[in-house]
Amino acid sequence: MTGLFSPSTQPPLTSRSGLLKATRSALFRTLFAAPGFILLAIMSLYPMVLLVQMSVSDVTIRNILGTWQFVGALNFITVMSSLTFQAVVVQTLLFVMLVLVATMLAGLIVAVLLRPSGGFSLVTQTTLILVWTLPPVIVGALWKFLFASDGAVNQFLLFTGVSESTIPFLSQPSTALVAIASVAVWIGVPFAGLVLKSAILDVPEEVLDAARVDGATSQQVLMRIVIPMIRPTLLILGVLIVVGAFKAFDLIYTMTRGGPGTSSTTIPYLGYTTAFETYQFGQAGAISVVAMAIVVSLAIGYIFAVRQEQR
Amino acid sequence: MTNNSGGRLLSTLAVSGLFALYAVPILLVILASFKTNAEIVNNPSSLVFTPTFDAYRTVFNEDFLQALFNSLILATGSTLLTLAVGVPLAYVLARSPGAWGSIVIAVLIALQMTPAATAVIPQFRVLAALGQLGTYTGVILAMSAAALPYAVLILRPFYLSIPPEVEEAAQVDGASRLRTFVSIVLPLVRNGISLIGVLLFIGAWGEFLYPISFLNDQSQFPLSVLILQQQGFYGTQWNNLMALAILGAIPTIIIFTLVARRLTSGLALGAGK
Repeated sequence: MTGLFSPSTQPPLTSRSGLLKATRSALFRTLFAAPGFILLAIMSLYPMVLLVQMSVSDVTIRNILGTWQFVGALNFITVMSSLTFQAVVVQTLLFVMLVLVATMLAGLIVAVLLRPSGGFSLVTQTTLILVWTLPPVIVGALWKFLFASDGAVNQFLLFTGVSESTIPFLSQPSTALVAIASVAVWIGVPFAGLVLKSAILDVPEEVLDAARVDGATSQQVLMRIVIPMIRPTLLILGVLIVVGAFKAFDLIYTMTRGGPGTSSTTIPYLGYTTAFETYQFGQAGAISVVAMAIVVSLAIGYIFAVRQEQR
Repeated sequence: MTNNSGGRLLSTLAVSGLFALYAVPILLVILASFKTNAEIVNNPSSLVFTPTFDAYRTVFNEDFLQALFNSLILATGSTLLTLAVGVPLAYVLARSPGAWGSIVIAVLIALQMTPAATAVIPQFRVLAALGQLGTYTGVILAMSAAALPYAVLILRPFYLSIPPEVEEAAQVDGASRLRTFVSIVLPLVRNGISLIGVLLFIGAWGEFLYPISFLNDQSQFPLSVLILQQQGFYGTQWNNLMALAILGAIPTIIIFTLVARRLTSGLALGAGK
């Protein structure tokens, strides 16, 4: 068995120097891995244990730093039966699906468009990546300005006649979540496009040529050859986009604070506001345990997707 | 022939549209930062106006410099801590092909996917127990723990690409594991370390969730929090908010222009694998 703390190349353990070498190697690995493990144990793993404990305890602002009374599934029952939580689950699904589908489609278009390496393509690509590196808090402020009732987006819609009156994108429940999702797509497309572009460039040119010689249209080449060949990348990218959308906090906080009401709140965001705004830490724990269950299933899906690509 | 040139025209138009979709919003924001608020209220997208530095003069004050300094401390501190513990951890994981290595990597993947909004809830109690609520150390610990799985997962493939013979040769020559690592392995993964260093710094620069959750004192908040607060303070003083956003983005833009090319190829590499 070659584990993390045992040497990968087995020296002869019978000789004394071999044993010494193996012990040294194990010591080296332990010392090298220890600082990272300690940081994760204190700041990531132990907090997850605490979170589970919090979800089955009566915890509010009064006793968050004190002792916790066990209350069984009470927090879960309270949370699950609340209309807000039910609406938030639906909103989370809607938000994640919107971001996934739009980012994938737009990413594919961008990848195909930027595939020919010309000067203008490069300028466009660089601009896109620059946007991807901007802090979300800045992108959020930027789009809050553009989405304002008297902002540029409304001006454009009025001017082109798409809309006849101004739309308060971020301050009405019916549009707030979709507006945030569209900004999440705007930030996500550069990354998706770049990843898909490099996957498409890996498709052998001869395969494409052979298809064209056989009379395939460029649409057929894309749908029947390119997409099946980059399927593993699509799968991995898909999981990454879903995770990114699920984790989204900064954009929601910056643009709407989850409102109006809770109309643009997602599950992890609701966990946060329940803890730090209404101070119901027990219920926040229950909401966050639900969020973690989703995370773990996404992680398992991701690991399978990666395995499949490596095969 | 006509079909081909028509297609080329169409794709040039499409690329232009794509460029506009990203460049126009940025341009409008830059222009807004050089307007007076009266001009913005009158027409937020006007192209003809008398540029003024009023907004920059308003936001460039002592609070701004303090927040800039705080951002530097938090971003540098968390980047350095993450690298210090992540670089050796990624190496051990790259040299652990067995079941333990796989389990650790699976846990790291799950941790990387954990929403920060979820992690801060129990961390609040942990930091209180450590006496680190309201301190930079506490925020840096939390930010580094959040970034570590990401850093390790990106760094590991760089170690994997080093042929094992290189290290074995050094060890046959009698060099210790530590010396082999420092003098042979590290120089070979320099690119990976600088790539992840840049990504960590850019990520940490915009971070506001950890500071607003664990810090109390106004004088401790980084620039990202200042930008959030100015939305409230200035109401719809868009020129000031946009000027502040641009000033806040400058450090990441500078880093970006220094490493743009390497970042682009490195990202594609990291994501595909």
